[in-house]
Amino acid sequence: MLLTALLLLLALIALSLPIAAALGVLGVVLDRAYGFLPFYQAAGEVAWTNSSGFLLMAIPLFVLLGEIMLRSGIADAMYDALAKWLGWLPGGVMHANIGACSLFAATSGSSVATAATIGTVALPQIERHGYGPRLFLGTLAAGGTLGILIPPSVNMIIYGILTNSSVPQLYLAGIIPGLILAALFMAAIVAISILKPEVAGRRVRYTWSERLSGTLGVVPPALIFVLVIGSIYGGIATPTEAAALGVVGALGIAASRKRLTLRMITEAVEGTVVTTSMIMLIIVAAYFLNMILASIGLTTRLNEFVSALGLSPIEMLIAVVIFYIILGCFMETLSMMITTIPIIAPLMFSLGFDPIWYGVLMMILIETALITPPIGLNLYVVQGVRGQGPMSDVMMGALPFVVAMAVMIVLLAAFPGIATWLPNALLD
Amino acid sequence: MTALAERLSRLLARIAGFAILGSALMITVEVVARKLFATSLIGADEISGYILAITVTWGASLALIRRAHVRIDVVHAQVPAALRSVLDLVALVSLLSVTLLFAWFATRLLRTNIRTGAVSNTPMEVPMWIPQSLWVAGWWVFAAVTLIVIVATVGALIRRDLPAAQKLSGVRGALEEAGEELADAKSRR
Repeated sequence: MLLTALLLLLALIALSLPIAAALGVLGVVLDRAYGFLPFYQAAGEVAWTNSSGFLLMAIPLFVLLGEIMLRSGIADAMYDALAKWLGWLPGGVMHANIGACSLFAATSGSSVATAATIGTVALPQIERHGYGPRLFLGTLAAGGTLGILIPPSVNMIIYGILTNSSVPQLYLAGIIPGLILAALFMAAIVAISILKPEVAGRRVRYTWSERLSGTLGVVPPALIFVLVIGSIYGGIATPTEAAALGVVGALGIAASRKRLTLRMITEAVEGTVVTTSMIMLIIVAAYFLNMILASIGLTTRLNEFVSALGLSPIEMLIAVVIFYIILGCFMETLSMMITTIPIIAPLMFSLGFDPIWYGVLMMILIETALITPPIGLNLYVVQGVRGQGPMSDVMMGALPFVVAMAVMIVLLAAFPGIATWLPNALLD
Repeated sequence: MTALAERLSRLLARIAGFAILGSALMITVEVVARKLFATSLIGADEISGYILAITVTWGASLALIRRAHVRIDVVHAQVPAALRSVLDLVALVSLLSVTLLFAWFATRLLRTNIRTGAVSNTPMEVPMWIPQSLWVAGWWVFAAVTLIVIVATVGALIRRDLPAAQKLSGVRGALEEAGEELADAKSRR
């Protein structure tokens, strides 16, 4: 039964069925084959209860916040400010790529949109300062992935919903690993720039007054970050309410920059609805499938199978990491999350792994998936921004950052406190 | 017919989108009121929960027309164009069947709730048929739009117009998606 279900799922996905349809078809087939009652008739209740909750409402609100921020025209000034502060390091404005991506990511939940926005602003720098294109492109692809680790993060909300874990705790847990990962990225740039000076480009130096005056550019994203994260930890708002406050704040920023038009809002809400509907249909279908998996006893079988393997927690962890790295090469990240987490995460929790810690690990694995070929969406986005030259440049350029992510995964496994210390210190 | 479906889908998505924006404002008002006056005005959380459920079904058609429903094209990208169109049709038919399944049992849930006069388990006691009938309507519109896209794709294939068929129902490959993200990012500057 286990093997049949797995092979059938892989076949349906390989046939390029929409993920939501693949999960739904699998559910019905398994139910007819193994179920002793027609559980699929509960489809209506499952769909309603799992798409009308208030916590889920955080998904469209954070998507909308990102859509408005993308259209508010703050990216140029922000990039400029970071280039002035970080341009003196070996590797020059490539550090600003990482910095701008992390900062922008802090207001937008989408890695892909982050890479596209910062990429468009940053790419002219390759020619201007003589950077090696590969590494430069790699910094953009990798920097963009920080979006899902640094709060607010749509992916973390989905993880929190799927595993019933606290979103505020997840957000706190992501901050330190996010900063460490950004630092690892920057260390990789410095190391490569010293080893291969020909790709390092020109360093750019500015006076302190130039730096200070440019700093205004980071104010809008910082404001949104403080508004959203501050209201959660100040005890004023739940994650969903914080997202709503963020949307209102973003409208204010767009208005102050004279970008707030009916057309802009219409585009932003349309994009929000399409993304939300796509995500939520997969979530609804995944809940439907999981209800059937549990009712035909497949979940129990899977648990028995895994415990019969007799793997130690560490061996299990290594197996899961390898599984996600391989799967991430081929599968779009959101559907990968929603299809696997409800099944694998409870197994890991029963082995004693902390749900919050595991959530942070998942985010880093998803980031890795975004920049591993052949299906790494961020690679394609950056290549698209560039519009010329071979795709392999971007893939090669992203490789050092895949290594940095692997280091981060090892660090996180060796020192779980990186993720769990902050939420424990602040929320207990 | 497809033009009509597209217009209807866009209209529904816009209504849902502005409702999401509206609930952001409503939730903000509630948070501020709670903080300043220590009162809760309205059931913003309950209403926005309904808005979300309705958004899911009302937005699904536009997502289909924009080919935003995620498909994995590892195999799809490797096969000849004619076979790709077959896969596209299989994908659409599978989507239609799953949508019909949800539409059918959602309708049954709605009818039960109308018959028993079910209301929400909150102080507002919202009769469940109000949000659920809008939600159920969205499922049926989504099924109808999927059917229209299937018919239009078959039509394009009969005319041997492969590019038109691809545009209706092909996989939005990573490169294409990246190109659109980029065009968006540029137009926003």
